[in-house]
Amino acid sequence: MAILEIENLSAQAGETPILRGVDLTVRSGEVHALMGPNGSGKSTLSNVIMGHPAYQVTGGDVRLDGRSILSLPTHERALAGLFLAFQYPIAVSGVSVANFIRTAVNARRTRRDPEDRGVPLGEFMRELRAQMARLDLDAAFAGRYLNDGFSGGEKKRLEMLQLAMLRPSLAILDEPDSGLDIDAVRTVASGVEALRGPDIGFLIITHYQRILTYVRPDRVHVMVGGRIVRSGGQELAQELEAQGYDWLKRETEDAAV
Amino acid sequence: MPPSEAARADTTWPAAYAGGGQEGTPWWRERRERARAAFETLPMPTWRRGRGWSLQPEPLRLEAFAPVAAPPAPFPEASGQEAHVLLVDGRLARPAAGLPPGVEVIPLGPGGPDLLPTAAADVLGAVVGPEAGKLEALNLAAMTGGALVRVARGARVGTLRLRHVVRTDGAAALPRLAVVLEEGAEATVLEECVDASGGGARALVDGVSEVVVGEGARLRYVDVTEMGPLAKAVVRRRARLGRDSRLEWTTGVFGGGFLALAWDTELVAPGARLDATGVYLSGGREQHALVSDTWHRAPATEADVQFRGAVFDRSASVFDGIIRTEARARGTVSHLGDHLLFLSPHAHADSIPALLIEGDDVRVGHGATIGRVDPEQLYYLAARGIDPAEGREMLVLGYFEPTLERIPDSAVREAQRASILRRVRATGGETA
Repeated sequence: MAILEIENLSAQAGETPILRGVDLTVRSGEVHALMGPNGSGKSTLSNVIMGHPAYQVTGGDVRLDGRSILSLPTHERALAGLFLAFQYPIAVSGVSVANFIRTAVNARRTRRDPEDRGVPLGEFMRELRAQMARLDLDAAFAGRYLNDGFSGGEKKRLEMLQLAMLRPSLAILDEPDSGLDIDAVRTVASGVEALRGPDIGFLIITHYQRILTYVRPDRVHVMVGGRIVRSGGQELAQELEAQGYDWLKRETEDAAV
Repeated sequence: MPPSEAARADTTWPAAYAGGGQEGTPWWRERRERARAAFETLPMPTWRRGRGWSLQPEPLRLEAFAPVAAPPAPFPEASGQEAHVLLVDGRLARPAAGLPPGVEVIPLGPGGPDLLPTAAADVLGAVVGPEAGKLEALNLAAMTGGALVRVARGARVGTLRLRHVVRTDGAAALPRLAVVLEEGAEATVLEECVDASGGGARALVDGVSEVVVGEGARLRYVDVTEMGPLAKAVVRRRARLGRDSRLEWTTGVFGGGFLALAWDTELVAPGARLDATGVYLSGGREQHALVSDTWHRAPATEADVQFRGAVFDRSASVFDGIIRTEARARGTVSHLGDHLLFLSPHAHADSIPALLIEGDDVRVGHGATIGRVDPEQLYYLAARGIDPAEGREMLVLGYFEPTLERIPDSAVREAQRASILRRVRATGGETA
């Protein structure tokens, strides 16, 4: 049972404050959706949780299973059970998908057992091919360079493939549906649903309600101006879909006056 | 000429350098005498290239080194990895061993036969003559040892291993290798230049390799340089490609305090083709001057030369890539690609391409990239649990991968990967 607690978190990029006191708790077994207009700080939140060096935390805390992770480097946060599916995954030429994922799988295994010799290649490839088939990815995909020349849909599905192979306890998906056609959204959503269960918690960041018709969240939160301004159930997502974000922005501005 | 250069141009014959062998071969004796005269007049190379900065090698003082006088003591070789030709400190360590059918090796230097075959005159001191430069002339005049390797017409042989080992502090090694593939022959040659002193030898290698690929012959030539931080090596390798011949040249430069290495290819008859793939890494305070010179001297020849380098720590490297086409070389297709990766803000590197084109009806091009390890890539890998040191290794290997994939022999490819990894692990963790 994992628990991610974000408490009064403030952060900035350079001199620009972006997060202004975020409170959010996600437990394994739960699916939370974080919605909000562009520029509200959703992606920044995901990167601050993961420890991107471009952001400085100026207040508050992020705890995983009760322990603050803010002093941990990014790879330690990942090994502790966090996963971030990137909105715009970067291309890494010369590093194959299979080699990359195997290295990441082995890093986890070594963390659990320093004597571990790594996943046997045959076993790894069988698992990789099975997961690729589920995500409708061609077998040749394993040998391609990471995100190099991938279409938008392929990049998103590669993020889901990594999620399926690495089995984190808490996964943050940063706009897993952006730029995808409806079939691709369904594929990504079914990937999430296949993993959903008591051992994993999800925080799905999205601008649109679309993916939430396939992945039903337990909680929906709305971020405006670097803070979570409203939380509720699935109906909140539908309300936002019908009315947009302007009313919430106005409410936030009024409250600030 | 700047004063420092003028002073070095006057380097006189270092007394300890004598050479010897094959005295009963008049053309060879005459060539060596001519080389000695050329040495006296040619200027010492300076290797100070770089745009806005320059390599800063210590002046090369020949008198600080001396050829090893005694024949080398036995050198232990790993079982199964024995070289066909073994040179220790520039001298033949033992007779050629384990040669496949169709391959002949004639030892050169002290202990070799007095009389060389007449055909050798087309190769030895002919492909790389004394006019190539002062140190090439020195090599010819004072060669400490070497071998002429001949693959007979139509023979198909596997890998021939030619190994130079440096192990003695202060040694001057002046080896000369010649490889001749006769018409229709096929062979793979692996030429290694390694430090067996544990990295502590202040040795000088002044080497020359002369390669002739006959009509319709096909040669895979792999050279690997992995010297210690105190070693200096100045090596010129030059290949001459005949009609419809093919040379697949793979180069790996993985270390050496000061290296000035040149790979020249002359495509002298129609239908000749060169595919060259080079990987180089410079770390510590190493200074590397690398030259690739592709010379199209006949119609309808083709070349594709791809080099990829990385610089670490406080090292400096300059890669000069040259394509030349003569007026008669109509129908030439030639491409040069060079790529550089900076792994330290304190490293210097430059890539200086030159296309010297005479005549028309040629397709000649050049492409270059310069990059650094991208912190966003490291972040992406870290977000999957891969620590920064391992992430850096992955990114550097990934950077070299498109070039390594060109290497036809998988064992060579894996060996180069291992050498790159060894080098990356030996350097500091800083990134540019």
